[in-house]
Amino acid sequence: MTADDSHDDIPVQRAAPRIGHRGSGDPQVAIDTPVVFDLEDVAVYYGAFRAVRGVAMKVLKNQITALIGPSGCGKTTLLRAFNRMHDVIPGARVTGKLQYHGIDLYGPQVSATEVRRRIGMVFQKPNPFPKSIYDNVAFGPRVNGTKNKIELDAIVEKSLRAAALWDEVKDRLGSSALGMSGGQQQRLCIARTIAVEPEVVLMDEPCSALDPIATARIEELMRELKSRFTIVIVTHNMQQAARVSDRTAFFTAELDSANDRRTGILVEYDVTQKIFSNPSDERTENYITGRFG
Amino acid sequence: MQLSELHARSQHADRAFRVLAVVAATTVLVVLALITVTMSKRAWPVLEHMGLDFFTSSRWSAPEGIYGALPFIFGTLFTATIALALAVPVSLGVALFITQVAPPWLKKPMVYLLDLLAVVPSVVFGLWGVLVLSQHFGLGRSFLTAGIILAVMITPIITSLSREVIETTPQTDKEAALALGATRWEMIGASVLPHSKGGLVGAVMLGLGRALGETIAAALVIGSALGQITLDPYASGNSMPAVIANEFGESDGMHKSALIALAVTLFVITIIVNLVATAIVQRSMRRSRGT
Amino acid sequence: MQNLLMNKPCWLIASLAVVGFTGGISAGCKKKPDDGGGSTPGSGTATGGATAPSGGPVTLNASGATFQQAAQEVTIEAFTKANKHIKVNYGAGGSGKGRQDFADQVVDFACSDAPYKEADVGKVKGGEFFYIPNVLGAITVSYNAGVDKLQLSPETIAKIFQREIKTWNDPAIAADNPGAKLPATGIVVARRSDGSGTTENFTKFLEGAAPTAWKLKSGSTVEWPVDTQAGNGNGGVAQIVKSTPGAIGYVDLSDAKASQLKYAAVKNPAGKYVEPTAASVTAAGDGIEVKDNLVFTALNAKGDAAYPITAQSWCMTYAKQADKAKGEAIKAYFKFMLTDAQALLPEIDFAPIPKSLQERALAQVDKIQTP
Repeated sequence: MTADDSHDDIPVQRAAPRIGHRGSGDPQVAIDTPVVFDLEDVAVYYGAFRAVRGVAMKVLKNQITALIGPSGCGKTTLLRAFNRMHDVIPGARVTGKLQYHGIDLYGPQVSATEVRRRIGMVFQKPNPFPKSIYDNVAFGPRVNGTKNKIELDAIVEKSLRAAALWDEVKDRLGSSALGMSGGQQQRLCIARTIAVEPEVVLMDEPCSALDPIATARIEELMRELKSRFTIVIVTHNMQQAARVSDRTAFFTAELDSANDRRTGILVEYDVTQKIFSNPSDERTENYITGRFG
Repeated sequence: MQLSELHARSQHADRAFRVLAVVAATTVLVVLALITVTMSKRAWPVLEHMGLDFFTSSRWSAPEGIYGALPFIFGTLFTATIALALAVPVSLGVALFITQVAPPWLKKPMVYLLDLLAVVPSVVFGLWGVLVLSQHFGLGRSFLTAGIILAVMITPIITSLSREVIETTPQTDKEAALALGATRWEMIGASVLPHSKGGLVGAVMLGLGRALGETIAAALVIGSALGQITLDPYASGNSMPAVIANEFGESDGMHKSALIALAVTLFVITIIVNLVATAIVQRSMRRSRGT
Repeated sequence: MQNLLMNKPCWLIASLAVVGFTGGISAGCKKKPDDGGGSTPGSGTATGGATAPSGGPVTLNASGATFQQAAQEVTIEAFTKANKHIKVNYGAGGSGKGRQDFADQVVDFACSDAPYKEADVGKVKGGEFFYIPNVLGAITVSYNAGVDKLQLSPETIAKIFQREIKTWNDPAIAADNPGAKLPATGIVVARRSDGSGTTENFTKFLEGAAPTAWKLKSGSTVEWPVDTQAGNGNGGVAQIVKSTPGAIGYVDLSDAKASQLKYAAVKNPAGKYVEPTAASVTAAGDGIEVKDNLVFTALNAKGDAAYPITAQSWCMTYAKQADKAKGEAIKAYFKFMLTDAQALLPEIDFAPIPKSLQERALAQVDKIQTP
């Protein structure tokens, strides 16, 4: 835990676990880098269907962690487990150990809305509210109790600046967010997410609907935001993972002997450079070099 | 050769479809125009006889040849207002419950039940109103009783349509709010309602249209008091369709003309309501689209 | 068919045979077929004989007064039993609807509590037509006021229904009921919500009998005061009277009896208070003046025993029938309605038309021409 961590209104384990060199798929971790998420044997089910299983990994603070892999490997499913987005899907459930700063995210005392306030999410398709630009950014702070207009104005400006959007929209904060371009909308969604000052920002293929220029801007933004937030990104784009992430987890789908359906598994998790230059698993190498997926 | 035949045939089908569409559209317009013309023609004698007093006078005496429709216009709007005031919150609540809260095992039967209620003939509601509301609960025959019956009648329709509209809210829109730490209720306010606004107004207006035009149920419970203009919901009153239903059979001459003029007035009011609704829907859609 | 009829009284079978059905039913009846007519009131002229053609099936469509719906129903039931090939449909949509339907030639005959207005006669498309009076009935002033016997004068009734008299112990009511103990409860007035011939006859009675007191004029609907209760149909008004203490309303006799209501004796032009009964209605029929076209009013009829709110009803059909089979069927049905069916009316609380009128009506039916 760093000193500037201010999320002490939920019981956060002060002595965050220090990471050693143990466990399969456990990457080399610098001593003293706090662990944000600690997963052991995590599986996600949709009804009887097991979408992903046996995931063990540690997500580190102020790093960008990329989840890559072919379609149907469960990477998005896993991402959504990080902020309990599965709660709203009937029949979906998460098993195994999924700790956030040492606290069981799915523990009985933990409120999903509190979790999501600390762990924000940016989606594949830009999804601003059908409201004004200002109201989009102010929505999160408002539901979290900020009513003061001056305070809100400051948060909106700060968030839009952080999302590199302020100069483009400062003169039309009152106009509808749906009138913006796709790239602007996605940056607005990022601004909206960071306006609630989360610790973690989850990004689910945030650039898949954007053109290369807009994509480049988002990637640049992610590198800037890294100093303030921990970022977990799901991406189809291996170059993107190589460009922006510190660590990469490679997933694939294998036939599940339990129910004869394809289930996602974590193959390899390591520092990004190693994954892309010298992967230890053959399946990773096949995928990286384009022989699979 | 074969290719050109195929080409010609597809053009043919296209033209046939266009002709069909034009004919269908024209038929609707012609029927509407015919209704307007024939009804207005038959309503004309009383409008000539009464002038604007037809809309502003509150006396309706067939034996004396005095026809003032104001109390009936008032009664129609008043009961419809009561009905909307009761039905809209309930309908939206139920629609939101079904779409956002209810577990799947409860959702299906509720949807089925509501769709079933939406097609119950109005006379059934009317009789229920007479037996239960007026007699058992002692509400008598009044604006309020009529308003409640109309509310009961239009609730399934508004709920059913609202549910379908709300259901079209993209999951990602809802997740956007949830991912910001919004509660379910805040999510509804941020995503579901803004997304569905246009469709919800449309659903309410369809309900209003039915409430305005509802005849049998209103005729049974509104009390058929003549000349009553009061905001007291417990008072007996009358509405345009109820008067037409009650008096048309035994009417003749000027009296019949007056009843037809009531129908024309109702027709015009319904058209105005629909135009206003369309305008509201379009404006809200334009605004949320940001153009 | 024969077995069914054997359970019926002999006179009925016999008279049915006279009117239409000619094939072997008399076998089930010990008496001679032609003695059937004389044994019941009002059927004396039946032997004059209508012979319905027994050819192909004929359907007669009719619409009109709800007032005589019950009368039409029993008539149709008895008539079609004897004339299997004839079907009669009576749609009780109201007198006004009946007149309209008849004028538009969408029905074969229609029944109405009121004749056409002078101006509307010309609008009847089928040309000359006949009014055939067929039934008389009382409109009661029914009440629910904890008084056993109530007497009311037309002026008092007028004031009650105009909401000028609002309590049961009003001096005007007391004056009509010397010595009676009247409650201090308020009066609730029940009236029709729908336009109706009953309302028309009731208000015409008040217009005629209490011309100064009654100000609402007469018609199928009048401008009732706001604080009156409206019921749909005779049954609706009867329901209000029955369920509301202090209520008073005008209801036809059969509905009033069916709802077990109490009804007032009403003061007639001879100054006598008369209760509505089959006898007092028939007495009213004796005191009427009938025009050449058989139009008359039974309201406020002369005679000590006449009930003053006695309403009448006509059936109307064209003088020149366009269709032979239908024309013959209408003649047969009308003759049956004027003869044997008259005897069925008291059972459903209506009264037959007086004999003199019956003869004139039958003569009119004879004038109906068929191709």
